[in-house]
Amino acid sequence: MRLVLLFAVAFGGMAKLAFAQATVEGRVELPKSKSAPVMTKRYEIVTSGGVLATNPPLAVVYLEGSFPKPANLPTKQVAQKDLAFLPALLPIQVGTKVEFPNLEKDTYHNIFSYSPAKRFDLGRYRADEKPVPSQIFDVAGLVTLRCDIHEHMRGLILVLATPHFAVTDEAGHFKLTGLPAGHYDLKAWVDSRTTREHPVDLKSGSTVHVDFP
Amino acid sequence: MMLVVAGLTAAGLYFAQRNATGALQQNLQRDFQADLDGLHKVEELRYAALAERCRTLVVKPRIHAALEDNALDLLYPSAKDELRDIMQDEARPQPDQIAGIPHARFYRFLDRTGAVLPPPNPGEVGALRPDEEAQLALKALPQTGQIGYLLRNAGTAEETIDEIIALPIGSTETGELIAALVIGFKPLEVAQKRGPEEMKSGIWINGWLHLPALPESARATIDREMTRLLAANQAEHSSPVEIGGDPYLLFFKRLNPDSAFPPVYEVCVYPLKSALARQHRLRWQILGAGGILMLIGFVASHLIAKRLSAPVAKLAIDSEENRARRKRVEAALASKQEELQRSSRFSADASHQLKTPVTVLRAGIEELLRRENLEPALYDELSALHHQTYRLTGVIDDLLLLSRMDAGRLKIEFGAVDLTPLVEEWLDDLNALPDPLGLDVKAHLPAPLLISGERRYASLILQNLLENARKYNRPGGRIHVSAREEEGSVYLTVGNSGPPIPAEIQPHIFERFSRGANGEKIAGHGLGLNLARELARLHGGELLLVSSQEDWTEFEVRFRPPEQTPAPALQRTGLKSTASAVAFIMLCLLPAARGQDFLDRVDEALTFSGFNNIVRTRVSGTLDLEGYAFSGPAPGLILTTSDALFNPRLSLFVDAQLGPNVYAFTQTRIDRGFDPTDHGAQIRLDEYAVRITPWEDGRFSLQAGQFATVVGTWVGRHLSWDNPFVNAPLPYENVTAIEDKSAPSYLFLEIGTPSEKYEYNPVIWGPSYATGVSVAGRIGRFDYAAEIKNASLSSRPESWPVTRMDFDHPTVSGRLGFRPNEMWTFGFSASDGAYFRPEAMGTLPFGRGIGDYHERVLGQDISFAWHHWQLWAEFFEARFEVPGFSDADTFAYYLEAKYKFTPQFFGAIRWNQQFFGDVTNVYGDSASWGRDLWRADIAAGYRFTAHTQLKLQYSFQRDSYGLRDVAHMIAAQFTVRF
Repeated sequence: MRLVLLFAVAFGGMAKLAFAQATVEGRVELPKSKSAPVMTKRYEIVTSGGVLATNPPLAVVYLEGSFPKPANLPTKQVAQKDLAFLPALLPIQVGTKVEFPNLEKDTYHNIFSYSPAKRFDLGRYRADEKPVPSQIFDVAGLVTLRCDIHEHMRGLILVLATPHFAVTDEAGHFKLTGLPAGHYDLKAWVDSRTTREHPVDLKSGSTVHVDFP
Repeated sequence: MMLVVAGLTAAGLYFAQRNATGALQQNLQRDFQADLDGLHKVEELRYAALAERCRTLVVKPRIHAALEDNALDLLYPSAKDELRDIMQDEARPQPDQIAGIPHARFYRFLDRTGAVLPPPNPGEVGALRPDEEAQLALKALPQTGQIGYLLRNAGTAEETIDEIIALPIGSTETGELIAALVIGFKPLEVAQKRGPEEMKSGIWINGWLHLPALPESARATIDREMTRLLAANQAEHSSPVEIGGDPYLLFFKRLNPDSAFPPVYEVCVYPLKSALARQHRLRWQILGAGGILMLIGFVASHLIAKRLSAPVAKLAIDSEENRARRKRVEAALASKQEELQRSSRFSADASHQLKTPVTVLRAGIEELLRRENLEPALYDELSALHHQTYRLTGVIDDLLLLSRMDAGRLKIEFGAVDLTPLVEEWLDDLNALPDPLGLDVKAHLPAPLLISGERRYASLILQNLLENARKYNRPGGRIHVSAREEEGSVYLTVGNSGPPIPAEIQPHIFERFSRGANGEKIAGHGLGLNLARELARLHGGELLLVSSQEDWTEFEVRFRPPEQTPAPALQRTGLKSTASAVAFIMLCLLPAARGQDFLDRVDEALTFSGFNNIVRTRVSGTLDLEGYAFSGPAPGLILTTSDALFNPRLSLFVDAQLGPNVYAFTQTRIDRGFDPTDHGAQIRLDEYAVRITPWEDGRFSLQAGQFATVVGTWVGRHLSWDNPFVNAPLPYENVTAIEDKSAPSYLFLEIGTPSEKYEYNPVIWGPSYATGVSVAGRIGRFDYAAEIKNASLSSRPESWPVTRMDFDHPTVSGRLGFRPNEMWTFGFSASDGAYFRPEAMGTLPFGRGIGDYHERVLGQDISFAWHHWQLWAEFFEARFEVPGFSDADTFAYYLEAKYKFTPQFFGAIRWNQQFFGDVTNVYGDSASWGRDLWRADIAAGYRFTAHTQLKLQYSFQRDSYGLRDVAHMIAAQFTVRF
């Protein structure tokens, strides 16, 4: 799981290497984990008092600003495996197409969202459904994924207007590379109600260290 | 006798009529309340089922998403499938109820602010007009379910009222209220059980009366009345109204108390016309009963007369017969009353109300059982619970059957029933069941075994017996069923092997909820045998435990053969009340008829003598059962705020003669107060005295103790047996404005409220049993008596005992009598004594003492006796001295005549009058200090035997304040003397 995320972050960074030089790194102070870690570590979306977050906690750090929209964006995936979304939290750039493959053995899923940022209903589909059901996310915002059949399943897609974002590791460390020089707001999404921000001045070739308390 | 009965009937009529309307109103109101209570119970059930439904609804992913993800516009599409079964489907008829919820006519969601979320497709959720939909909105989301009503198509032919329930929907994640579901139903009928010509019920909503059964003009009348009553801010009320010239009773009660929806009232109008007609019929029935009674009375008096000359042996036999008859009548009356009581509140809804929650419970468990991936242990537990719900239904069925029997509602439709196939059916069932016990079952029954009964109930009896034989058996045991016909009865015997029923339990096995010794191990609820026995008895038979010892227990049920059907049970018709009334009067009269020999024996038993007859003691007494009914405030010394009073009184007299010269007596009473009140019971020693008579010619005797005054002649015959009337003459019971605990005020006002009556004083209070010493004697044609007592003639009972009042200010009284011949007596009485109690001291003007305030009474009495006539008259001039102001003078008298029509039957009339003098107050104004009044009494009495007597009295009283102060009283007194 973590490998997948890291891969996604690294891939995203490499794509912008050609015209960006700055780097931001640092640490986001994450909330305490709700439950003791288990052996087979899995992220899940939990709600507490109406606030959605991942457990164990993760944050998404992104650089806010207006950036040219790339011609084509890579397709992302949120799979369903063992009655859970994988990954549980997915940051994407506006316009990204996300596929929802069913990786179970014999179980149907019916993924839908009533979130204002994206309403859709994929209907019931089997494990080997072809083509893989997918959606394009055109509006920035938080999308809550649910399954009509399995009421406990929750997933989050954070649709961002920027191509510069990264998911922290469990300790809260992050690193954004290939950033354009300039004055920006650096934001850290911690949960559905908490987003922290920090202004940054980026100069070509430099590395700025930002910690979110 | 005839007149007595006629009087009795008249009294009965008077009581019945007086109370009928009030009782009717009370009954109706109680019924109305019971109906509404039933409605509220059903509503609660409905609400509970719906609330559960809402809880399960919000965890459904789509509804959850719509609510939590700020997508309320998707609520209806998401809920459509989930709530489809709630909605009535016009095209496809469905069962009326789904798990306790009736089909809804419409539903809507409310958003966070309580506003209605408009449905995208109203057809799917029940179409409503915009104004109707607007009525569903609430000011805020409710914390609990709210009940409201929705008036639709008002004023048109399709006018209906729907009941609506609003249920809060909370977020499962934040716990906040985020929406509400409002569901509309066809309302429950409140008074659907009654006939259409009787009560009409409707609903009052937002100033609009929905009562289609009434014509427009009547609705307008009720509209006005409701507006007026609601303006008085009453949540429930009843009021008489007139609609189209006919009298009606109007009840209303808020249907949705404490609801956030607008108040809605259930309104019932009940026509009194038919009730009055019924009352009229009842009157004739009572008259009929009176006629029968008269007949019985004649026969009874004839018998009594005959019996007087009959040999003693016959008396004894009659007495036994009478006793048996009385027992039968008593038993019949008791069972009748019990039956009436039980059946009165039995509701056919009971089955519904008890069974619905069980059905809901069962459905819930079934739903749980259908879930996938249930743990086997949990599944087993749920299955056991599921099984228990069926058992619960069984218990409810049995209880309902028993309660129907208790209420006398179960009627056996007698017919010929063949028991053999019933037994065989059960044996077949038994073979189909897994039988871990391996029982050997044998039945020896004739091919048709016919009995008289109803198949389903006879089958229930057999089932219970056979089930028990199986349940309480031992492994490898036996069951044996046999039958025989004997002495015109059919006996069916069921025997089974197994541990016997312990001897100490055997007498109780037919009681409800009783179980055998090893009952705890065996399924059942202890109702079976009770049910079986009750059913057997209803069949005119019996169920008995024949034996239970060692390894064999045998029950035997007896039935009647088919040609013999039991006599039909007492017809339960309108005659019911008449029958009860007759039975009651019979009960009163029977002791009278049979009392003679019994009471004679009691008399003998209560006389003791010893020491060579030097000491003789006799205990005697009277039991008085008095009833009063009056219009206006209770007259005389009767103290109650209601308009009727029952006043039982037991007086016990002990008379002891010690040698020729010493005599002592006591009178002890158990009653509700010295004078008739509605207080609780009390026991008092009213009279006790020792009298020494030194000379046998009676020229002188000395008496000391607490005893009746020597003044006047009425006191000599004041006990209930001797007094031709029920109450006392006016001078002895009309309280004046004099109080003995405080000085008279400047103006003699009237006495306060009737409840304060006992704080004021009459001229003479009853027989005035004050404490003191008296001398009395007779010399030639003259007799004399004088006494010195601790309290005045006017003193109240509380002053009489020596412990309550000392002799600091004694009262001296005396009477001188002259008896020129056996026809006439003349008497002159006088009394003088302080009338204040010590408490009054503090209220007296400075310098005055209690001894300055005297009551002075002068009395004259005349009596006359000639043939069957007796006449009495007494005149009292009384003065309550008030030094410094005017004395308060009053004059009271009565004239009384009694005539004995027969040695047993007498009639009496009495004229009473009292005048009050003028007093001058501090301002110099002169005015009467009391209300002049007169009273006429008429009475009739009948002595059934030397021990029993019945008196009836009617009094009419009027005082100087004109027509307003007219009072009627009816009194009856039944006295048993022993």
